[in-house]
Amino acid sequence: MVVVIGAGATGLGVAWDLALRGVEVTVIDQSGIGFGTSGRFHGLLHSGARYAVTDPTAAQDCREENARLRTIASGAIEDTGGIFVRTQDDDPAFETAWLEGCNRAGIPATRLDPQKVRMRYPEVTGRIASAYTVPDGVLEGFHLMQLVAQDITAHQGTVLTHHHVSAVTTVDGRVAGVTAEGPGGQVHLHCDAVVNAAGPWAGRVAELLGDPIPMHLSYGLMLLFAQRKFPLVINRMKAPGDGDIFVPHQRVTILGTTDIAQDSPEAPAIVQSEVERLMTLGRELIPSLDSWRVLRAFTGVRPLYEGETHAASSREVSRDFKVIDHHARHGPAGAFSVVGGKWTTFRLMAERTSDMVAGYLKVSSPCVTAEARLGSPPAKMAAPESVLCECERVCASDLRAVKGSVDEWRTATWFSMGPCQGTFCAHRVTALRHAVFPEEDPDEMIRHLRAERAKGMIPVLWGANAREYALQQAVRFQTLEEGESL
Amino acid sequence: MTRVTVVGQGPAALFAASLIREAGHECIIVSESEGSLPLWSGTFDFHAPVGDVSNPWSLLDNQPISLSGQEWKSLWESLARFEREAGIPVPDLLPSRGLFTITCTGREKPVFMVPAWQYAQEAAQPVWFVGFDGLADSMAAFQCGAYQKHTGVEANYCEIPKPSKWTPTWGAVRWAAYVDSDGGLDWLKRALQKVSPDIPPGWPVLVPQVIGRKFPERNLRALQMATGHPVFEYPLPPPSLGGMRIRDRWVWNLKQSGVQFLAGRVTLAEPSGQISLEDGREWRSDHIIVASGGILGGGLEISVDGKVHDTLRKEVLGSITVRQDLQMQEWGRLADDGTPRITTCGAQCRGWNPNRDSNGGALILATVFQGLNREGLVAVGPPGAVSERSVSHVE
Ligand SMILES: Cc1cc2nc3c(=O)[nH]c(=O)nc-3n(C[C@H](O)[C@H](O)[C@H](O)COP(=O)(O)OP(=O)(O)OC[C@H]3O[C@@H](n4cnc5c(N)ncnc54)[C@H](O)[C@@H]3O)c2cc1C
Ligand SMILES: Cc1cc2nc3c(=O)[nH]c(=O)nc-3n(C[C@H](O)[C@H](O)[C@H](O)COP(=O)(O)OP(=O)(O)OC[C@H]3O[C@@H](n4cnc5c(N)ncnc54)[C@H](O)[C@@H]3O)c2cc1C
Repeated sequence: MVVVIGAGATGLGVAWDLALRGVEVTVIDQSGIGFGTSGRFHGLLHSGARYAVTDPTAAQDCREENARLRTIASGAIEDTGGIFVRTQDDDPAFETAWLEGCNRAGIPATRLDPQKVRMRYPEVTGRIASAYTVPDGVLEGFHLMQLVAQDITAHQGTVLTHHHVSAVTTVDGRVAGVTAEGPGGQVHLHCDAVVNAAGPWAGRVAELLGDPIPMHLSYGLMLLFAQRKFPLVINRMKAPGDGDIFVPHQRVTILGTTDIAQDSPEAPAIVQSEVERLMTLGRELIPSLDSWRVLRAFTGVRPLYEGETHAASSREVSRDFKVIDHHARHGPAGAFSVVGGKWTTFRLMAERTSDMVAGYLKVSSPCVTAEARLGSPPAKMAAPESVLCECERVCASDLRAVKGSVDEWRTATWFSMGPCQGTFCAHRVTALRHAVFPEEDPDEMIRHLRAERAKGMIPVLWGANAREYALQQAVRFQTLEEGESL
Repeated sequence: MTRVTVVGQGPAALFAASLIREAGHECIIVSESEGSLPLWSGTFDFHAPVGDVSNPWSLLDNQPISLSGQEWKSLWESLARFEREAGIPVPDLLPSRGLFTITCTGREKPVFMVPAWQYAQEAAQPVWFVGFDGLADSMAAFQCGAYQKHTGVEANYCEIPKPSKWTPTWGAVRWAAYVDSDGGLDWLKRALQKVSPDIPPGWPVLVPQVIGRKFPERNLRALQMATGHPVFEYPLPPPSLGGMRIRDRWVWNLKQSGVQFLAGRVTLAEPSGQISLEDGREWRSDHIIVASGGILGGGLEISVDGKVHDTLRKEVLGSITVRQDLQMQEWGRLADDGTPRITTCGAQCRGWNPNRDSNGGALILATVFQGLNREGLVAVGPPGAVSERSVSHVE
């Protein structure tokens, strides 16, 4: 039995890989699936081109995994393609190096006529010097995590959410079990091996293993705009920096990101000056950016591994990942950590990690995830029903079908995440929730839903979003009389 | 004849237009969209009078603009008169104390002047909630539970099934159109008759505010007859039929009295009295009353750098440095900003926060009065009661 700590992309990937090898596995998360970085990322299925110059290993891994994921999980990946645009302000020497890097990593980059790019995408700056297409895609993180979790369960694995792992026990220098705190109290799980896939929390979990590892945490800010402004990913061709990618994610467009070192694994509060800086950078590629309808801002924390070298900035820390056998260092036998990497490379990270775990457990079955196929979720029932969330067209039956907390209802259905940011559905969902789970406190729930939305809206109060927020305030205080409870 | 242009079509603009017409001036209303009335139930509030308020006028001393009690009283009477002339069923006598209505989430909300279709009481009492299956904002079970929890008063509820015509596209306005139709009213009468034996005698029956757009009085009377209980509506979040009815009737009344309504976006309002529209139209009037609302109404805009812009006069009025909840009262301008011929009223005025203070009605009355009075367009109340000095701003 193996316990995987962390149900983000990486931990789910490891549990899935092991389950498919026939290993008994439980993946544990302190909150819901994807409430760490894997639910707070940019949504880009990297072609590898971004790392072509600075990080050749990551570039090649991304290229291979990008191609694989398209077949493994076609339902959660959109084959948008992407372009790299060099503006007249960017270094032409980088273009040469970039083309060489793509060539070396096997990433197909095809030159485009800058004039034609301008004509097709008139919002892109007129200062295009050159442009190339690359096989970027869009990765629907929550959707893919759901598919993986379903397949884990289908292979006799267990996904245990809302349990915080607080201790790892050893017997004679070997991992023997973990202790986790959940809503029903403490649980003890016996296991033969433990995998630390705790993302930004990996440093803390490594301490539980008695073998600290050096992490380099930094957070990135992303701005989400209404509407799919482009049919494909737009990257700026320069050394990876801030505010240089626009990703069309379903019906919205996400601009990101930034890179600011921090100590805490928790996603931080948003700083106003950072928002303005990201807008300034975004305008260099899209001069009309101010006229776009901003919806909200959010942050995610990069779980990069510092290894033995000390990089000057986290952009220089490799996006390559590292699998650590703690027994080879100062830790117990049967303890492994997987750190760094990208969402795009989660399957490869899982394969390498599981190979090591399987070796330790003397399991000979090989990794089969590269050949696996993850299905699509069942189609929606068509019985006519009232819509509770009009922006995302969510009905009561969609919500009832999801197991878990109200936040899991939200991330599974996307209710309250559209242009009105919960103005018209937060109270309706609270009422439904109250009907299904009468023991939950509805006042607390509506406060929580409002606070969750306000966190993302308040840092970007301009234009139509400020207007929406003014309406939301009036609805909350004047028509629902939420005033005294907030 | 003095020619006045009012920019906006929200409650402030309509109140201003009524006063301007009553004083015998020519009035043009120009607005880009329909204003905020269709978003709320149209119960004009002033300063959340909670508990026993034997003299509600005393509360008005706490408003950002201080007017004499006599002025407040005659302003409220003007509003009630204009509404009644337009056929809106507001009481003849102003209430002497604050009232409560009930929201769709079962909260008690303080209100003041309430049209007869809406439920309002001085204190919590037992009520029977009726939810409509298929109307997302009528959540009777939840509403009833919350009402009992927050008031400690007895209540009960039932939910009536959808009519056969229902489809998932039915919003509040479609429901109201259905109830206005003979078939719809019949359906509702029968559905309520079926549950009325369960309802304790004397308990008011509360239904969502979708009981018709054109004939709510007739419909509610019919339901009252059918059930033998007093039947009232409780207000819903936007779009709100209460506000729509008030707007429909008030606008129609103003049109009949000769007010011209123009649709268009004003891009410039100048001290010379010149108005320019986005589509190229322009004209001059003797006075411009800017009732273009706040951030929601469109009179104010926030740019990416946090600056607050006046969209008509192209000026920066301030900026938000630390992004936090919109503090409405911090921006906007005063009617008395010194510019001749142009004056501001309604939600754009600085110093008011109707969300926090539940005084949206007082805001409209006081700022419109202040603006029109400054322009010398109206005098409210007994002759001599209005002087420049009585209109002062409390900082
Ligand atoms: C701003 C930003 C943008 C990004 N954009 C992209 C992109 O476009 N494309 C791409 O491929 N990659 C992107 N990445 C990288 C990618 O998102 C991450 O590498 C990946 O999501 C990490 O997944 P993870 O599972 O390792 O960590 P996480 O998703 O953080 O999962 C760790 C989980 O462990 C749980 N946990 C921690 N401690 C405990 C404990 N003690 N007990 C139980 N559970 C615990 C946490 O709750 C969490 O759910 C981006 C990253 C950032 C920060
Ligand atoms: C959801 C909600 C609930 C409320 N509940 C209550 C309540 O219960 N009780 C209460 O007393 N008050 C309530 N209010 C009212 C609120 O308190 C304000 O007093 C009110 O909205 C302000 O009205 P206004 O006429 O000043 O502006 P608005 O109603 O916002 O009208 C502004 C008008 O100006 C027009 N306009 C703006 N810019 C231009 C331009 N450039 N060119 C042409 N036209 C333009 C707009 O199209 C619009 O017609 C509520 C408001 C809302 C939104």
